[in-house]
Amino acid sequence: MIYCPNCGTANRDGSKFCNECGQRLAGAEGVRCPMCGALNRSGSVFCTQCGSRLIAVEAPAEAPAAPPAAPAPAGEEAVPEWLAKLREAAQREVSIGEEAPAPEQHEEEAPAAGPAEELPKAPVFVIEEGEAEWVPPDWLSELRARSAGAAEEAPAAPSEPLTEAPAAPVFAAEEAVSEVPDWLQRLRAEVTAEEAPAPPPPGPIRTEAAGPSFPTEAAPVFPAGPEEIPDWLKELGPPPSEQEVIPPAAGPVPGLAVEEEELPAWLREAIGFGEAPAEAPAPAAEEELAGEIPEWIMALRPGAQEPTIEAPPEGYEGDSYTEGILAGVQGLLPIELPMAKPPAPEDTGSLLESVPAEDEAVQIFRQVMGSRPPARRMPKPSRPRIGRVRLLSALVLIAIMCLPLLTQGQWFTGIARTVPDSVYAAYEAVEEELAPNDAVVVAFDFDPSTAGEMAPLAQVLTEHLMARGARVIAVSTLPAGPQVAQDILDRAAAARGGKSYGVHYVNLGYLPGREAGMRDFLLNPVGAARRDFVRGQPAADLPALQGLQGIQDLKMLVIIGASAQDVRWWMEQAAGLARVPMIAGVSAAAEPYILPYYQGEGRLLQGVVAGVLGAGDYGALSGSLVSTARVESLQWGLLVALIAMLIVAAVSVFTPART
Amino acid sequence: MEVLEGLDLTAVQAWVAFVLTLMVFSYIFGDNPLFRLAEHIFVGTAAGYVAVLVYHTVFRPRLLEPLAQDPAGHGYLLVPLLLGLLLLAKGKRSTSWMGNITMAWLFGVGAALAVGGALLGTLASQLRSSWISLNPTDYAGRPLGLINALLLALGTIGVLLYFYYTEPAGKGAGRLLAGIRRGWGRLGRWFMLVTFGALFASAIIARFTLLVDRLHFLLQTIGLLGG
Repeated sequence: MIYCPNCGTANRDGSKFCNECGQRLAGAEGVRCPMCGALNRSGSVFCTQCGSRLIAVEAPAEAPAAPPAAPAPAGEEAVPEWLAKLREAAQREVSIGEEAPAPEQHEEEAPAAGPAEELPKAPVFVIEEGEAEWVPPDWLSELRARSAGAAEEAPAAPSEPLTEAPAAPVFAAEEAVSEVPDWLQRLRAEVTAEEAPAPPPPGPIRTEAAGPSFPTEAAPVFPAGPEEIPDWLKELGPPPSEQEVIPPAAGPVPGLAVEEEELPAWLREAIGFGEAPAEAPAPAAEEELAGEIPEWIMALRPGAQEPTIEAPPEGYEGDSYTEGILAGVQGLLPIELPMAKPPAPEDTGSLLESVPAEDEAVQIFRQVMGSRPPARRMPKPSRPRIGRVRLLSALVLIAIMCLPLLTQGQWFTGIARTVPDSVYAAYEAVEEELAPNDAVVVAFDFDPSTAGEMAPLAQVLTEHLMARGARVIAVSTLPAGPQVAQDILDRAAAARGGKSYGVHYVNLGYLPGREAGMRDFLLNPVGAARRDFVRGQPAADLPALQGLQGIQDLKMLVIIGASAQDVRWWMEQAAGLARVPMIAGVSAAAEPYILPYYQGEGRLLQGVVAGVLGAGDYGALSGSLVSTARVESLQWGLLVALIAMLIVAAVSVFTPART
Repeated sequence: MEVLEGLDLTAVQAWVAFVLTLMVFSYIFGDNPLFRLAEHIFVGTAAGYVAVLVYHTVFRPRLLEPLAQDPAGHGYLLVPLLLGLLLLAKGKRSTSWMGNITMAWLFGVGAALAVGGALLGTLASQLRSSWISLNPTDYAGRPLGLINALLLALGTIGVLLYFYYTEPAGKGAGRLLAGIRRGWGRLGRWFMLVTFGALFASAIIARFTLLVDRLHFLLQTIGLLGG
């Protein structure tokens, strides 16, 4: 079977194309081993199964000159006895097979070949009655002609009619491979090897000393060493049941009654005739062997001389003949072994015809597949350029903002402004709602990142609360908030004096859970806080928390947050629990979001203090000390920024847009 | 520690803060390694601080100590502990589904609290504030109040009309109403622009305040400002 290399489908031997996918099968183009019958890829030198050489080594120059000792036709005297026994064994095998009929039925027809009739045990083709018109295959005709031409002593050898005498076992060229069983192919190759020394028959495999000489690749190939004897050759020996099996090293094979002198040393060693010679045979023995063994076998022997390249034939110069009937013929094509010659490819011209559109598509496909994408240079990431205008603007802004700080208001005075209603309302709420020892929860919902803005605001509010004598209870919903709150509480307590931690103010630290934590704390401040932030004391033991059970005990909720979200969460949770006065101190960025809670209907917030400016206003009302230099610096910075933005806006308006 | 005893840590802290502030300010020249280093220091310090703080303010006083003192009485604390441990399963894809239980709990409680608070604290008050009178007699002596009420009504309705995308088909009165709607919608668009500008200006004021604080700190650290 030949397995398709494309789809794996098993195809019959000899198939040229896969019957499933149409793939050309390698077996159709391969070389069949003359020894084991295995198909090898074209151009293979050795068989992949048995190691036999597939391409013959070129015979010596004198080889074509028919040696006198070489038997002319395939006669009994030309065949060693051991080979005859091999054929006999093979014949027995064939007689059992279904494909090959018993050779005894045709023995009468075979003897016409003369010497060939002495090989009754060789397999022959059977010609049934009624098939008189059967045309012999080429290989058979070729072999017959070769036999006739090679035998000088037997010129009467039949040359034409096959029906009269299918002379000897016929071994065909590869065209008949499919017609011959495997065992016959193997034997054919074997017999062909024996006929090689004879004068080459007419035909493409003839090699002549004179005339156009072709490389002698037509010689069949046989194993070159004992390790290359195929299995079939071993199997052709007597079956173990009939003959005593003797290891090869113990001596000659009993089933092969071959004289030791008839075989070369290497072959004797291969088939078990005693010990192999330690040294190469002497030249004299070489010549003696040459008379017994065909030249091509001698050429295959280990240590045989390397093939020589023949000189160009007479009349051949360069790459063409210059005289004779071949004048003008160019090139010397080496003759191929018929068995190695791959079959001619089928005419698939009709299948390969294509229309111009397909040709164009093929061209495009080749261009696409063959062309590599152009190397695209990735733009190198450039570092952001620091524009001079940008740098100059920053330096000017910083310088102007630093001047009020440096001069402490001597050169730059603050811009006059009125106190917003929201700030005043917050101040009024603290003044009116709170009494000494009232509990006020202050949520410090900002961290160090916004402390620069929120700390002054928180400080003025805390100072005012302490000034009113309220118990300040600080918490934070941000992890970093409690430490900032503690710094502010300490400063406020120091500014007002007479305030002690745990009694007048306390820091309960971080409240996890955001809205849930806020709600939990407003419902149960002591239970939610558990411990204070500074000393870790239980919240229930702190004097500042005495009597505080829930939001109903709170007199005010002060929310100081940098984020509008945090402030809104406090307001929403507190508004849902009880009506408690609330004021908010927020960042300037959060002011637009929080102010509606003061201005709108319902007024959740009693007052709003926003940013440093609001802190300054509130400090001015409450008497707290707030750095006026910071307020003035901020005002001047904002003024410069406003002017800069107006300039940029004017430039952008009057500058034509780039296209 | 003996070496640190004679060292004024306040001054060291101030100079460390001074250097870090300058490193952050170096961003004015674009992204650079100094800014990145300061950024990483802040992030790492904040994360470490939060981890320690959470342990001392949450895990130890609210979970570990109650369980150690009275396990039977505080057995309910195993529920939040289990929910917290389930969050660790989020680290592996095959077990991340277990963390969804805790996440569902958190989102459910958070959404319930937020919606409840927003309805009572924000939405209701906002609706009440939007329901205003445009009768001039109600603003006798307060012309700014009347103008404020008019602007509030125009802006609120204009913004709502700006997001009204359906174009009614028709002629006559329908076409006239469509034109009014488009014009009022454009007015609402300008209200939004002014609002966003005010929000942006507020954000600028907040950032300028932080800049002033840092400039004040830098000048104070190098001795140009007293106290």
